[in-house]
Amino acid sequence: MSDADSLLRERLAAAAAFDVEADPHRVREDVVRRQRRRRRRRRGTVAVGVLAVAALAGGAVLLAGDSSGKDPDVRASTAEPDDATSPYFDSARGWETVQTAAAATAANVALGPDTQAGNVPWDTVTTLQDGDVVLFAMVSPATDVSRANGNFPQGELPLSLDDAQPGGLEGQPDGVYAERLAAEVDGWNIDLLAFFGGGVAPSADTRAVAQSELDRLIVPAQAAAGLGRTAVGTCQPSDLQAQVALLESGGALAGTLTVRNVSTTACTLSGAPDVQPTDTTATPLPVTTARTDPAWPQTNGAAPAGWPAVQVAPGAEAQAVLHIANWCGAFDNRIYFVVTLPGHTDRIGGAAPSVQAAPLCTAAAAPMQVAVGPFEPPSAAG
Amino acid sequence: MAGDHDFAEDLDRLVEHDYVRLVRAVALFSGTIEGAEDAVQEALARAMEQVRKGRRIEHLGPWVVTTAFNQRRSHARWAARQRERGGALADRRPDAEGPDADALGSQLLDLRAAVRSLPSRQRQVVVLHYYLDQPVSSIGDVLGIKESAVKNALHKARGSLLAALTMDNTPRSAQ
Repeated sequence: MSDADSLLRERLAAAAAFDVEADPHRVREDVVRRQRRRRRRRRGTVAVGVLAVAALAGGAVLLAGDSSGKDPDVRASTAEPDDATSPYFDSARGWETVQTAAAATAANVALGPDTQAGNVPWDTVTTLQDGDVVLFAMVSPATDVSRANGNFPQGELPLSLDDAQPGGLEGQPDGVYAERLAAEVDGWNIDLLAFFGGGVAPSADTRAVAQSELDRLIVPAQAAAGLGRTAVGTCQPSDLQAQVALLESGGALAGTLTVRNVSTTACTLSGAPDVQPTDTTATPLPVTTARTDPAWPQTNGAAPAGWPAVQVAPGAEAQAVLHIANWCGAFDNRIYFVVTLPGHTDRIGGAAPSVQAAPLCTAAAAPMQVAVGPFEPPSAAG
Repeated sequence: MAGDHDFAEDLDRLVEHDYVRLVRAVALFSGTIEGAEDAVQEALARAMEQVRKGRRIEHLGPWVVTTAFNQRRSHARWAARQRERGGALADRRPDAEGPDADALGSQLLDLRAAVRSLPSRQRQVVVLHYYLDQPVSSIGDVLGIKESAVKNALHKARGSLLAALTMDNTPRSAQ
């Protein structure tokens, strides 16, 4: 071995002296737990990190007369549904499709069980190889509020992938390239994600294949959609999906919890949600929770109309200030948040929102500090 | 074919004796300890899965590290895309150099940076060869490339790292 090689080995050994906690017993347990989780995920019996958009929305449709927890209205097929009231993909040869009241999925690979159950198609997306495509369209009726927000520009069929931008969904598996496109078509807000295998932007051929299926997106006239409830009631957990957006701020994480009304009717929120952070195994993290002020006094100076009640139209959102600080425990690359509404025990539907970050450890003996504000319109908190 | 029992013994041995080195190897590859342990554990879980399916893993340690390298590389790409979008939170933890950065001399931090600046393939072979003491033939097997390609990548990486060390030795050592 040359002197240079010896020098390199010596210096690299020193440079690699990162602080690593090594308890073999703990490591074995962690690895076995991960392996079990991988197997469960494969079997589709659990859906860690999966946003159950479709299942929830299906549940919302059923809410009017049924809260028994039956399966939502999910159609997995290669045949055109003859009673479709929401957008869906007409399946071309070699494509499998599934649709619910709130999402439509098409893939040129076999759909995973979670996907077939109407959930976000992560179990299909993880199988993608070069040339494979999953199209996933989240749909909701357009409202005056969503039009005012301007997030869904007017579009027409067929939607074009040329208008999509590189993007994705939080919780998206690694090694997958995705593009995103939002448009309002015939009274429907369509948030389309195209997932491509291979980890990089697709070839022209693959893009053409994806476009050919996107051309088959069928959007029924909004008037035909069976909009069930009309009265404005209190939002139920299954009416909502939650997302969290936090930015690092002085070692803490600060931002907003956003809930979106995925039901087909307006509903009202008030008070502050309960937010329980968990690790990746859904184990609650020790926390002290406090209430904090809403954001509107800093932005508007005047209370939003109707506050502290916040009316949320279908497809619209409400927000709450969220601030977390001091985490000295293990960090498994992601913190999840279980969100419940005031007066409810069921958590807000869909997958628990999460962030791939943790606040800095500032007080080793103390639990994580969570501060949550009351619901308010997004313009105030955002 | 190695059975579950043999593999369990291999896994025990690896966790007992080599775990810290493997995590540090991944940290050296990615430039930060952040996520390294997670990636190694996930790779070990994948290894268990592969063996249960009947696959034989010849070089378990290097296989685990290489799988973890790939995971970190995918994560870095994902995080970069998130940053480009400026939207959802990517990995925003501070502490890019690791918690012990302050305790290290600037030379070692510069060497970490020099490793991080190498192309991915060169980084893999450097860490596998110079840090984990893997022979060129094993590296070729694990990475699925020819020995000549391993040697070529090693040669280039060695030059870059030695140049970085040489630069280090002059002005900074006097400070």
